[in-house]
Amino acid sequence: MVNNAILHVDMNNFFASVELLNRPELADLPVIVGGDEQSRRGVVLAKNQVAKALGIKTAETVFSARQKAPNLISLPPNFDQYEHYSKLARKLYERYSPYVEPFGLDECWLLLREDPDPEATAHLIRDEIKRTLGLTVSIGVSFTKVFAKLGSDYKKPDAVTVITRENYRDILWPLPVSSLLYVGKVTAEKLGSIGIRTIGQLAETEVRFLERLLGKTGRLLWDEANGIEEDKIALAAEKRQVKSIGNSMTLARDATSIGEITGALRWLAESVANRLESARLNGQTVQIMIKDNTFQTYTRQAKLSEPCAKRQEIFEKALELFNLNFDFSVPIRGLGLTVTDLGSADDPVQLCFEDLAKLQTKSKVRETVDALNERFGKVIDIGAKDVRIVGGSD
Amino acid sequence: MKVICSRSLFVDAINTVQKAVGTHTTLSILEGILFEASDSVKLTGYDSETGIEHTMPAEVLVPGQVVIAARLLGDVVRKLPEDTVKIEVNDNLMITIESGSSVFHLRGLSALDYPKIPIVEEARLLKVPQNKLIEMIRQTAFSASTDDSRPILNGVNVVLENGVLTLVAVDGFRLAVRHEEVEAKEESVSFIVPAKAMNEVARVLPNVEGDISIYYSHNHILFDSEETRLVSRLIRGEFMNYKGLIPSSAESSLVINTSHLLAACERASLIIESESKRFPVTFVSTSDSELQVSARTDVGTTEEDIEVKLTGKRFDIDFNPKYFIDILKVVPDEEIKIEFSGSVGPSVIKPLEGDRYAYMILPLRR
Repeated sequence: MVNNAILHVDMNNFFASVELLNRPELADLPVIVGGDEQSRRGVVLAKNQVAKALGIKTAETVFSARQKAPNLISLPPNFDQYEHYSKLARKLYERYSPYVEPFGLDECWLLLREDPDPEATAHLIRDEIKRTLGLTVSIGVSFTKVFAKLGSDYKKPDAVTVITRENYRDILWPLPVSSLLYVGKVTAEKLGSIGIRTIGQLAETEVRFLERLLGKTGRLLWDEANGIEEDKIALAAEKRQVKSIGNSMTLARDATSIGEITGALRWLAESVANRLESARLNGQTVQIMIKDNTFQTYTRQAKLSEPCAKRQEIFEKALELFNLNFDFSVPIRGLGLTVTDLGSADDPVQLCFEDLAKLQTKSKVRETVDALNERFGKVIDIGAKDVRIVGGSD
Repeated sequence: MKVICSRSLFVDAINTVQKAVGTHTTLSILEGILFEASDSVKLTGYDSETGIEHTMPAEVLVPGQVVIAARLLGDVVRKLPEDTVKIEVNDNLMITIESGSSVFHLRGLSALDYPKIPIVEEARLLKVPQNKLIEMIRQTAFSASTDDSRPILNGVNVVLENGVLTLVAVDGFRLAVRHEEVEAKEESVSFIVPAKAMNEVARVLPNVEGDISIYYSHNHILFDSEETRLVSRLIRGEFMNYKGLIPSSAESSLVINTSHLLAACERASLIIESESKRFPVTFVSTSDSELQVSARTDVGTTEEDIEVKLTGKRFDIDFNPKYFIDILKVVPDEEIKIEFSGSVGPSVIKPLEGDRYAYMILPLRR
């Protein structure tokens, strides 16, 4: 590798690892982060290595995970914590490169320019994350984003894998096509139907043939498999021109009541809000997609009163849309949630009269705090979000 | 029906009523002008919210009535070659318009199908000087909201109390208030007129000193000037209680030349895309005698200083320049006072003396 290298950093078992930071005594037990077990609808969001070894999978119900591991420890998710650690990690990456592109809460691409030894830098990052945050990462080092991501998946946890122009055929080509970014179940089945099962087989197929089979995606996947890439990593300071952010899921069982839907919608809202937040974007239109068990899909959308990235508002709007448009005459198989009309969260905000009333209350709080600080020294600090006591003057 | 009239009076009459003619309606007759000839000629446009009637002198040889497609009629009459126009309608509603050697035959619609403009029943009467009313509308109605989600804010609140007439418009981000003492016998009155209708009042009524008669009932309001009458529905409900919103004190107060600030804002907005809300105009008090007006966008930057008199704290604040431009264009005074309260507090524009008007604008938060 000569000049530029791309790193993909993946925080291992992220949610579960963050939970274990606070509960180290659980490290040797099967631990998952998941929904409410009592309701029989809660699903596994993340698991530790022990749970993984017992065959527990993300998105299966907590109930079925319990069948595999009777001594399972199930912890409720704590997204504020995950966001907090995600931000700390991103800040750390940004010290190594101004080109940092987050992918969800737990993954990031970094572009190292003119780095004589990117593998060594990857180890420095891995060590520093472990030392400062107590979390492990696996890092792929390569010359395209896709190969770097495959590299970070290749060896976990706490590892660095280097994919070079010389070794990618040996290391990556035997992997199943489904490990490529953008190859979902449907695409994998289509490729399988013509005998393409590995990345190598995909790479050696005539590109025009793939285009006939998959349209534009065909060319994209062929490029991916051959280590050809147009996509650039954005400067951390630059916003990507993203049009929408969404996520979808197939339910573990077909849903026939609203109770079974709310958990899934909440989880989708959560993940979309997190991605909006990490991209510093706000969205104003919420769209839901429903797939029923006859594979009919429907989308419905509505506007929020103002652009935001708040999970609760997105969730409530999605639920409202759902209740307005769907009954359970046909069981529901899958759900999707997308936020569009995106704008930068750093754009200035036009204040309105409602804000004014809030600010007037706040300024009264501030006056009181200033008076207290004046009297007792700086004991209270008002941040953007909250008030905290920074120290006493004994 | 057979009528002879002046082309220029006819054009004026069409222009006056055309704004009330519906566009994109489901009822095509509302896209027409009702033409009624008795001893004079009356034209009516009505979009089921606002109706305008205008009467013009004409030589009526045979009385009658017809509805004519508004856009077409306007285009035809404006292009006629001579100043005398002859209009004739036969029993099959075929209209003939003649001027000089030019002849048009247009299809008309039956006046019987044209909806009736509401009669303002059991109305009470309010008389105010017409030119004052027009001025007050021009100075406030632009601040009303155009967002249909809060219908109350689409209106201008007209209040008469203790001999003071007040017009108020608010869109949630800015507010405009204008007071004027009037000689009125009525006690207190308050109603909300759609801003669109108010703008039409200011546009179609002649700017004259005499009183205009305003008749109002529970649901409707009628502005009755001699040749022109405008009827609108009223917006029902409580108007926003704006009085408590305007701060009584401020951290900084600025005396500034109105036209200098207007020109500076207009220059700054040259580099701010009008649709984009991403970029503000920034006001910074660099000294007690200078205000720096600047903008910084993807296109470039601009900056200039205006002479001012500042009392109180220095400030640094961002605004949508359009809000300032709208106001500065209609403020009558050469110099004004602007108050600021920190970078997220409201800004209030007032006259140096008295309280004839007050405008409040909320800033953009960085």
